[in-house]
Amino acid sequence: MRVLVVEDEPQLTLALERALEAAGFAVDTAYDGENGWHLGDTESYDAAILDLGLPKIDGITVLGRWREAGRTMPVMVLTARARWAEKSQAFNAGADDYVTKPFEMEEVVTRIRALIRRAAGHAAPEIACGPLRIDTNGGRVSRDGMPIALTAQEFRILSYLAHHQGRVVSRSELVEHVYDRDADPDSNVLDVLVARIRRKLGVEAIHTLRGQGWRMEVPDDGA
Amino acid sequence: MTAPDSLRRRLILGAGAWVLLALAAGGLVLGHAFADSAEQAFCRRLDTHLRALLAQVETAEDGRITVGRPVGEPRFEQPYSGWYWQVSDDAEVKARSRSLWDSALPVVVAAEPGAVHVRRETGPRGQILEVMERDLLLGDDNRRLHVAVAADRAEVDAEIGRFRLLLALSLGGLGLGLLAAVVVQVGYGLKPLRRLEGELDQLTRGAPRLGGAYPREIAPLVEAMNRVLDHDERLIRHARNHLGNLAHALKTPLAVLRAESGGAPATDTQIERIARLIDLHLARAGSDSSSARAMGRRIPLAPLLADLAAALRKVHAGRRLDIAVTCPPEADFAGEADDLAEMVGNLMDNACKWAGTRVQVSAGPGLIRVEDDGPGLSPEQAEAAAGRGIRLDESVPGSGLGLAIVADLAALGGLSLSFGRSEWGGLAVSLAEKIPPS
Repeated sequence: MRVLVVEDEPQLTLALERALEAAGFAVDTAYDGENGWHLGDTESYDAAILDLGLPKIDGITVLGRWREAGRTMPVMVLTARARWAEKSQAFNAGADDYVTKPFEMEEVVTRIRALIRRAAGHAAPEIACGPLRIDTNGGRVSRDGMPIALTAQEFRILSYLAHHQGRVVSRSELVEHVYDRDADPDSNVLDVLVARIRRKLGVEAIHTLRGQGWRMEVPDDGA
Repeated sequence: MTAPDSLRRRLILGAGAWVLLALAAGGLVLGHAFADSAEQAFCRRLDTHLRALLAQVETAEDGRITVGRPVGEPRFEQPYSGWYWQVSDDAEVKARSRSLWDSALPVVVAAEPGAVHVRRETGPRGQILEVMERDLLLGDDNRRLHVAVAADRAEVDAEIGRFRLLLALSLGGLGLGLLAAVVVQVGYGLKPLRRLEGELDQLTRGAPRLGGAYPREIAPLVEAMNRVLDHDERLIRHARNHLGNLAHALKTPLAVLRAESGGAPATDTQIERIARLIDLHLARAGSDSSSARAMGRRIPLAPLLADLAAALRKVHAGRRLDIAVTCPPEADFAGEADDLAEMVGNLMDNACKWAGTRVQVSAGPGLIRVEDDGPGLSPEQAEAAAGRGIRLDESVPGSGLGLAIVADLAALGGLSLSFGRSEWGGLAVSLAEKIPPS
């Protein structure tokens, strides 16, 4: 899962980036409204964390421009302004959640996960796929109750496919959502990672569709 | 406060008094002029008849006085008609009109022969007569004759009376017409003021400034008011921006501090406390900066509650709460929009935090009630939460109710905040105007 953080305080941005990466997210950052708007408008993100008091273009304007351009990713507003008039303004502009500073990192991570999950149509934090259980909050995967150890990047790929199970996810879409924009993955890396995940899962859950991408789906019998 | 007098009343009374005064003076002058003219015409007729009579008086050879019949007035021949003439000397009546029959006019000797005298006398039938008389010297012996012509005044008095009645009716009608015109004119003249009153009313309902074109006399006032409103708005916006920047400047370093502290419980508690104190004092400062603008202003509740409910459905999306709002379209509340949003937003957010599945917001004019199906408050907790000027560090520890800001803003805005039980056993908080809206 790939998240954009738009925050003008470098130390806070770094702390958010670390916390989100530790939770298994690919993170891009922007330090002003103009750059943040540009990234959100041109790249694919599963969610964005947006400060309101930004240099160059304020957060409400950035959010309004994204929504006008048809960008539907869930946006969490992160701001020092705690008055309800400002919160209402942000929600009216298209925000999906609102966290006021100072905040607990765990709360931000949990709420970002919930936003992404709800945007993909999953209400519960645990996504089921046949005998597989993917705990999006804890970053854990199990098969028939037995834990499966995955690296952060493997979990990111599995999590994205699980969020969109039943749908074909193209190679470029997967790259966009599991790597940050500075990464330049080799074309075979994804194939290698998916093959490794398949082996670890021990169940035929990820199907390769030649020339199209991958689809996560497990038949009802779980075999 | 409304003055006992009004501009409309003043203008109508002033113009009415002037119209009545002018009409009364005009009526008096016209009546007097007509009466004078009628009197003069009456006297001229008498004078004509007197001259004709004088020309008819002759002395016969035997010394007798004879008078030919004066022409031009047949009523001299009609008994007691009111028109009489008489020729007499010092001893007796020498000749008289047939209308006098056997009566006689009292004779007053004039001091100077040839001089004409006019006087009033009571006639044979009690008529008020206007008598015009003159003495005449005849012959060598200077024999003195007294010649008089008299006419009843009733005719001329009736004519003057009729004219005065007609004049009074005409001027009365004219006066009423003018007064009606004054009322219409004052109404038309004051129409822009009524429009201004309507716009001022709209100002209290949230309109940003006065609009529309006004007559030259009122336009400077409207422009001055708009300048004051704009200045006021700029000051409030500046204060709000300043408060927002202050919040940003204070709370962003706190957020960094919290992130750097790695979630140490002692540090977290202090950081949380500082943040809440900042929120409380910024909310209070925000309320102070906008309270002047809020005077008399009423905020429609339906859109405000709909916005807050939509925001809270997103904030608490994971819990699938049923947040219901019942608010008639005409419901409104006194105060400033941002402060009201702050109070109701906190109440609804608090209800959502504690609710099991349901939050109900009901509103009416000057009243908002927020209920939930959570655990509710004990009487001690309710009393602590509703305390005036509650300090955040003295509020119920760890309650997480977030009612301190609401209690503080309600107290600043002169609103009553009360706590009770909802029908589901949870908390019910009512925010109401102390003086119900009219």
